[in-house]
Amino acid sequence: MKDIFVIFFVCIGTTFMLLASIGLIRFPDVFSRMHASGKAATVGIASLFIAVAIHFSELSIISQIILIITFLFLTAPLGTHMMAKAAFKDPQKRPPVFYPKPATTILPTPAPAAVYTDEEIEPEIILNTEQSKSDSNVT
Amino acid sequence: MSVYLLGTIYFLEIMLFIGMILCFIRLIKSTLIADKVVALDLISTIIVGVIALEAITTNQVVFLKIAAVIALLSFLGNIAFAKFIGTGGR
Repeated sequence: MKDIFVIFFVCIGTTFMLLASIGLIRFPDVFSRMHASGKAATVGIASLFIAVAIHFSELSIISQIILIITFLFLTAPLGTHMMAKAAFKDPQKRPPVFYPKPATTILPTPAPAAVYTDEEIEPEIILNTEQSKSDSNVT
Repeated sequence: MSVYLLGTIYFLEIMLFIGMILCFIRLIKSTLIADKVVALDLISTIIVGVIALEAITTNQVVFLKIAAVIALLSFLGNIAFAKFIGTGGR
């Protein structure tokens, strides 16, 4: 009976960790990659340690595991935040990649500009916001 | 401990190693330092998860302390890299 809960929590934790890795591969930008790995990995590892706590189910081990989970929940967003601040000030950085908005409004003449991308991504289209703003003012 | 639990955990360890391989691909492919540091942080987090799974399979509690120490060290390394990048690599 105990094993069922252990298997459940272990599966959830591993799924979240694997999703964090896939997000690290698939996302186009440094900041969105941090968003993937900073949150999903934290939840995944908390679920794994909950599974360990259910499997042992002794008071001393559960207190140790609560300590580890609290430490991870405190330090993982802190480290990600510091990395995001440092990467934002980095002179080597590229500006973030924006996806085009969903076309609910009629766009002005599309001026697709070649955009800063990573090396493995196809070039995306950035809407020329200043041009669209001036057009809306005229009309 | 049932056979199903052991089989599930071995399968999930393979899944975690696949995730680690994806992190290594990101670590090799990207040119930005911050990107590599994020990949290294995720690798250490996955290692902590693998150690938690090992604590279940071997029924030994000592692995939890090892996991805590590795989490602490990865956090310290992350902070050090953040300081290093924030000062412009000097």
